Amino acid sequence: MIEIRGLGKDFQRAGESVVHALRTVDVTVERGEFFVLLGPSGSGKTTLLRCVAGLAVPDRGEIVLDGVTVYSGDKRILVPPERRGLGMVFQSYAIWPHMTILENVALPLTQKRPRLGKAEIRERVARALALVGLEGMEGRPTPLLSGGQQQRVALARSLATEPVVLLMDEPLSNLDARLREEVRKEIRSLAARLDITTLYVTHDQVEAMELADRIAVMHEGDILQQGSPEELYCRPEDPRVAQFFGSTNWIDGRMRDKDAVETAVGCLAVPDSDTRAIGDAVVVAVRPEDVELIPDAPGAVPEENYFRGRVVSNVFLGDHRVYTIEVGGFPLLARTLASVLVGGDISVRIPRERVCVFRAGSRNEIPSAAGS
Amino acid sequence: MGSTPGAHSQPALFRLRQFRQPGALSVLAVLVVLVIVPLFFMVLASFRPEGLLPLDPGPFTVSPYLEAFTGADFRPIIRDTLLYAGLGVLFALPIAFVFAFLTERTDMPLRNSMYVLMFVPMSTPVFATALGWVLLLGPRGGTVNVYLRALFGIDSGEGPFNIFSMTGLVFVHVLGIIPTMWLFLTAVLRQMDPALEEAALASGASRWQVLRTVTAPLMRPGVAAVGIYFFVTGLESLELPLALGPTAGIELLSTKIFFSLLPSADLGVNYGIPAAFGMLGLAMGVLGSLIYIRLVRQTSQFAVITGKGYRPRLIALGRWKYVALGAVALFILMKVVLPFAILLYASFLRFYVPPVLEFAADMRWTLLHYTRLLDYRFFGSYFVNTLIVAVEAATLTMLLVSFIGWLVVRRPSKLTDLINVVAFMPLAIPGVISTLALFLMFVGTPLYGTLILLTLAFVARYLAFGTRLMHSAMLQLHQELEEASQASGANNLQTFIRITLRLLIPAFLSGWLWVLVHAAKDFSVALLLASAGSVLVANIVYEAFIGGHFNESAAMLVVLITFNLIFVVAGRKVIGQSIAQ
Repeated sequence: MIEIRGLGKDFQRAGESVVHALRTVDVTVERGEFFVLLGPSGSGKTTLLRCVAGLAVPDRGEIVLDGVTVYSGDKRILVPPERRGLGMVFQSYAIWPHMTILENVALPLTQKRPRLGKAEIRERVARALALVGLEGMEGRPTPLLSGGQQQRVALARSLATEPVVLLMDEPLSNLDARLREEVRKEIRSLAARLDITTLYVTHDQVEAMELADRIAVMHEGDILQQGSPEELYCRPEDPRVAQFFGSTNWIDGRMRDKDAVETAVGCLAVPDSDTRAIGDAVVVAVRPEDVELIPDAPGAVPEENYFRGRVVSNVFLGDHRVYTIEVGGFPLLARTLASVLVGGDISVRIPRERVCVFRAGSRNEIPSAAGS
Repeated sequence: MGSTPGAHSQPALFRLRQFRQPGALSVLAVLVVLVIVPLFFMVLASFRPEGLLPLDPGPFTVSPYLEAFTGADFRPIIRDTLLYAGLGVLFALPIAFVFAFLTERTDMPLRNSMYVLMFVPMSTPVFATALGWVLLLGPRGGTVNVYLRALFGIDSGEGPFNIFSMTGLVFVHVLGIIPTMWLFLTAVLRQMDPALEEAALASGASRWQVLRTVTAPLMRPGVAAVGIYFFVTGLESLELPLALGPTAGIELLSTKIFFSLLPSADLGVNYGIPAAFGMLGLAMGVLGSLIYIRLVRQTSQFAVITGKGYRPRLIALGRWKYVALGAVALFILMKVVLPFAILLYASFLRFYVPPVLEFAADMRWTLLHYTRLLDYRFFGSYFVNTLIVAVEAATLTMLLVSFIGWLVVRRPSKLTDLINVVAFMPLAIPGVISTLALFLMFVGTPLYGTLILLTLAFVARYLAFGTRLMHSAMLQLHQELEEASQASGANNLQTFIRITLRLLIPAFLSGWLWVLVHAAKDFSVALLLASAGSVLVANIVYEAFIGGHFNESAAMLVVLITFNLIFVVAGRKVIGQSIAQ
């Protein structure tokens, strides 16, 4: 439905070097899929969305929407935004303040060719407003609407022409936390119900995981990895992807065998890998929730990845706790529901299949703003 | 799910890029014709001998420069011009600064009404203030002088004050520039983050120390820039030197240019001398502007962006607040009330006599000056001409600068950088010079002597103001409002008209009103460019004044001022409503 091939865009700032807003991006979004572009600010995700919308012009590559090439650098094709037939929701909502709700939602309908009749337009506006739960509010002036209502008007306006592709640029970032959660659910169910192909930009990984069928994680104009939320969380191919989804214990080490790493914590059994040679410097990622705490029981049988340590500190976070366990001098974070004594000895176990191994040094490229 | 992306049939469209180039190029062409080409004509004219138009075939010569710069009047003209512009700034700047400080930083009563109070003087013709003060401070019949002589028993029959002097010129000039200067200085004050001062206060400095060590250094470049700007404005001032100068025997650069343009019986056309003086004025203006730009750069380095929450702590004036209010009231009295009152009084008299009891018997009250306006072709022709030119100028200027603002903000490129530079160039060119240049470009063409030429002169003059206004209005307009329209299927032109222009209406209207009122009150363009076919109110007022018919010019000025005031008040109301929507 949306095919993006080899798309690149550079910005030349006065007196500065060229900034690669997009390097060489390839993305394919299937019909009816909810696809999220996730990344920190400046990662190029909004630029990519604007290129699809036609609001930004790429420098190279190709964009095909529903079988129609709307941009091609080689063939010199550029279809202007107004002829791409898309729906788009903006971060600021961009509700025109001099128009009523009716006029806002009707504007895209009045641009349709062949022209629609007045009655037809009214009916389709009403239908779009019903979709977002604003029935009967056509005559309202827009400046007095709440943020949530403006958001809904923007959504209704983007859906009024029943486009096949819907683009959304951080649509929830201006709402307060409670409302954000509510609207998020509505957007998800609306997209599923209408079977619309959605390209959605956000910097919030929770939002991305809840909404997306698939996610592309972007960083400095590149796509680091794309896949389902589960793939990205559990099998990150890049430390920066791991960093982006939740907190992580990063442990430096050296390959001792093709399935074992020597680290400060001890010798860690890891999933089999053929890509690394013995002796290679690596960095190991372990999620805090994957660190199992096992209260010391006399006579326990030592298992694989079983280490002894001491509980150093404890942070209570309501629905869970985060402990710092010192193992071999390394402060290991563990997330658990259980309650253990600070200062006491404890054993931890790390399941081999949950350990991720990355090339050493790759972690230095992690943006400090991301993560948590 | 019916719709599919358009453009099935048409391949290869680079429309976005195609759209912005012709638009920007044609705007640039218009600006170049309005601003730069006339200067080129002035340069040409300054090298042509007597009797030749700039483009006539024939020899080139430096004799106009020699003649202009070696004349006996050259030194006094330069000395007096610099004195006039310099002293004007020297006296006006401290007063305007105090007023600005009172409005922005103290609890002076009525400080919020200052904007209305100051806009009234801004919309009255300088010529009216001048004529008013002639009637008040004329050496013989000036009302104030008559009273002072009676009070102190002076029986010399003249004085003690004489408006027809350098002092008188500077006095009225100072009154004239204070309101606009005040407006600029309030902006300078607002740019400064009050937190900087509060931090100094919090660290134990006294008010006075803060003023000396923090406020003053931070504001110095901004205030100096305003001073330079008004120095350049002083160079271009024509109406006032024209009203008072000849009687006082003082000639300035602007009046020299004006009088040397007037065709005289014994000599043919000689545009070389005014053009040579024009080149000198241009050099002074450019020099001043270069200093101005340097200073503004410095200010913007200092500028700390203050958000919407800008609320400086107001200084409590205590008992002094009545002194402050009194000073402002005195200014309004001198700038507006007294001159207008005396004009109004004079306009109902057949012959002018000072408003003193002992002359009561000589006061011949009449409506003649007003009824004569009806058959004087005043309302039928001159007034309509003024109105047409003002409306045309306001509309054309604002349409042009709206498009420029949009181009510069939304489609930035090297081309729009250039547009910006050319649009701001008029700031560096004293208005009299740019009008002279337009005259030299169009004299001898069919356009000369038409209202269109007058309109173009005003467009050129208010271009920089309008560009600045619409640029900042455009910056406040969220780009996504326009993008949402494009994403909804509206093309660039539809978006510009239905969204951009519509949302810019408040800024557009206030700019329109500003240009309209300024064009209607301006005398210099009319006096330099109008001819038999395009006579404006200003020309008639000036002629009546020159002919000694003060009462007639007073009546016409009263009508003009009333018209402008009605426009300002009504216009502000309309703008208020359009913002409320």
